Amino acid sequence: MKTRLARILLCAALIGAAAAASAGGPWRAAEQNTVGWQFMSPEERVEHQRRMRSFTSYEACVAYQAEHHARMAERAQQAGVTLAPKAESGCERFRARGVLK
Amino acid sequence: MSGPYVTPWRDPPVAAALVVGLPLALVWWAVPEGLPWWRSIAIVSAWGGMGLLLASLVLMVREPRVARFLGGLETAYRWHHRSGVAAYLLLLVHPLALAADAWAESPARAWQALAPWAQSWPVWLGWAALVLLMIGLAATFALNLSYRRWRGLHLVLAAGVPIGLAHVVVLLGSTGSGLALVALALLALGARFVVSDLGVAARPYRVTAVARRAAGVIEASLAPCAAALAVAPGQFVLAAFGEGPHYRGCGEYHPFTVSGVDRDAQLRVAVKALGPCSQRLQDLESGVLVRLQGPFGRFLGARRAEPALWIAGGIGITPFMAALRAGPLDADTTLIYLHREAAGAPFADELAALAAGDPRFELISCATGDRAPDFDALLAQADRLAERMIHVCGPPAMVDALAPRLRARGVAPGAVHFERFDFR
Ligand SMILES: Cc1cc2nc3c(=O)[nH]c(=O)nc-3n(C[C@H](O)[C@H](O)[C@H](O)COP(=O)(O)OP(=O)(O)OC[C@H]3O[C@@H](n4cnc5c(N)ncnc54)[C@H](O)[C@@H]3O)c2cc1C
Repeated sequence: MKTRLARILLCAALIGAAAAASAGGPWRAAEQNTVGWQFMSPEERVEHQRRMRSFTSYEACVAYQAEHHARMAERAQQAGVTLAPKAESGCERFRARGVLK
Repeated sequence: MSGPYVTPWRDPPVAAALVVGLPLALVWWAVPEGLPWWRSIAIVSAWGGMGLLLASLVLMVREPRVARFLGGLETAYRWHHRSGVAAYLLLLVHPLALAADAWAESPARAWQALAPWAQSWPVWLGWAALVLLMIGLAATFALNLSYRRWRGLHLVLAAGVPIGLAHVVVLLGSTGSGLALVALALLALGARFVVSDLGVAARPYRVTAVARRAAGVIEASLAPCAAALAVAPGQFVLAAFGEGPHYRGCGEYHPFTVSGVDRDAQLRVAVKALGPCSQRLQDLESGVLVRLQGPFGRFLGARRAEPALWIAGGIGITPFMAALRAGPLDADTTLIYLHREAAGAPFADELAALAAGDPRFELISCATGDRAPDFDALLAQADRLAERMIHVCGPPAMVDALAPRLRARGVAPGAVHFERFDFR
């Protein structure tokens, strides 16, 4: 009975520790943090999220973001819409989390 | 894989804790904030499914100490199966929920989210993994497949796992958490395929004698060539028989319960011809090298000095033979031995001699022919049923038929131990 309890506790502790060690979850591209979200295909959204997560330097992230904004502004113009800036920026988020330097 | 030793009321909970805990931990870590409902479902199902898949990989490691920690190989395999199926179902929800999320924008977007040709290769990897998991799982449910075919198709399932992980890692970027998942999966896969299936840690034994115990049943004596395994009666080993002067073994590992643990650490295994490999083993000869892994199981391990009832069906007699051959019994024991034919049941003569020589041992031998035995009449022959420790070993149908009848006769759940010879 005792060893049984010890096993449950050990398992729970290991699993809990693993989850706690990395709490936070990965960043996700979404409408609130991606300019031009409505003009992107599902594949482009997946690729955008992948690119954003792949940067190791803040400058590279911001450069890509600027390029992305320009591309989206072009699509918006063709559709006759003006894009509003987003309240949240992925690159800022990554910097705040210490992922980007 | 269903378990050979089913003690349903006493399952140690480590395997279950892993199957529940690992996906919950991953979901807790990954649960999104502020995303649309369907997208959140897609994310949660993906991480939950991944957690279940990882738990399922850990549970297929076939190393004796790991198996013991997880509550025995049979329990581990049962949970391996459950978590594998649940993982597949959850992972299937993932693309469907993504499509449902896109549907809110337009049906065309939903279609784009599903159609592999509208996607890039990281998403194809995800689809490939799902298809492989589906093929592999279908094979798992096809119980009539030969072991070899079943194993091949199970390998397809295993191939789906690294491909699915590649999908995750590519989309996630090489983050610490993604790589930790890959490391855990590769460790479990490596431990299973390299250490267990290739038998890196297996011990060499040599066949020293082969006896024919009945039509289609042989018994081989195995002597250790190096360090011996510490096997107790009731336990089983995984055995891969190799080559002899005139004999070619099938080389793959099959489970066999030891039918004798003899002096000088020699083991005996009795093999009934059930399929291609066990059929070929009927021609086994002395001198063949055999590699053994184990021991596994705890079937007769829970015995105490209290009256016992053993019920064996056919080749399910092997664990009881090992216990009887190990020396005089410490408690009154009745053995109900069910077999097809009166003449030529394996070990019939030896059992009769043992019963004649040990007053504590009562043998009830019953030839059933091709019909199902009358279990109620048989159980009525064993007195004080509720006071006995009961061990049942035989074909799955027999085990399934006996369990409710024993319960109906007032036998406490914890007093019954089952062994089924049907896991893979
Ligand atoms: C814990 C355990 C202990 C066992 N102990 C013994 C023993 O002491 N003596 C003995 O003769 N056999 C024992 N078996 C069964 C033995 O492992 C199988 O008979 C053998 O693996 C069949 O392999 P095969 O290639 O000859 O046949 P397969 O081609 O694998 O199968 C032939 C037929 O047997 C059925 N079958 C397949 N796999 C198994 C399986 N693992 N168990 C039972 N039926 C199966 C199939 O559905 C098919 O109908 C044990 C099995 C388990 C799980």
